[in-house]
Amino acid sequence: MATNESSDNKNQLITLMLQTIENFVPLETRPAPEGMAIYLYELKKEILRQNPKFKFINSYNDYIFRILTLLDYLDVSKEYDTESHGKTVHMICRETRDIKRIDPLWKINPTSVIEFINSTLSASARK
Amino acid sequence: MSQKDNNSEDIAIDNFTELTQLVKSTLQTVDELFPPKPEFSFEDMMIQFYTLKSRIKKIDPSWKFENTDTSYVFEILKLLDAVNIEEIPDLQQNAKICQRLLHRVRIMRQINPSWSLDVEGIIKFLYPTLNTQLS
Repeated sequence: MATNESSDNKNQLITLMLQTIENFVPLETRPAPEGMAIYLYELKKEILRQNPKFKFINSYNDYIFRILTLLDYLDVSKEYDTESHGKTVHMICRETRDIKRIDPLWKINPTSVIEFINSTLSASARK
Repeated sequence: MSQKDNNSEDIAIDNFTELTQLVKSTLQTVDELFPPKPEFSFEDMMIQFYTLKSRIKKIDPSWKFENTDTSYVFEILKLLDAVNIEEIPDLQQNAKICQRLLHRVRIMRQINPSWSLDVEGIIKFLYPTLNTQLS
């Protein structure tokens, strides 16, 4: 229960931090960068007090973003070419090997990644 | 709605389902790269990625794994990690980070004035990883 409460609290703090960024614009209502810097500092300090290891981009998220970028690099507009294609696939292999060395049991959750991609797309489409 | 409209809607749904399945297969292929399977050569992997992505592009030529929004989210999170929280914080550095955050939000709002950060989607996406970290 205590873990859930702490997790909920952290979740709220992260939400607050992201909403702060979200409210940066329109410009007329945003505080000066110095004021905002102090506010973000306080929020982040509280998040790290609850979990000193917390990172907005941890190794796993970093890996996912890198993989998505690399998958976009794969050029299929031309005929299949072993050399250029091989370089990107090799980088994907290396990134995957590195992340699985941190935790051999960790797996990509394709559904969650797709949901995330779709949520950002639909968030834009809603406008 | 005419029969023609119904048909095009069905085709759109079918395409979306197929696209989702192909993206899923691509991500699963990535996940299965390590540990390497002896029966699966590097050439096989390259061909599989090429085939999957070609099929994705055939359905949606403008498809991107990392769209503007996801890359923006990534940049924001990286900047938040850079916020300095030492006992005596470097407020000047933090103010610079805030200015960079503001700059990114401004760019997104220039592209789309009603753009907003999908906070719920980000949290949902981050949580499985947070749980992994805690375990």
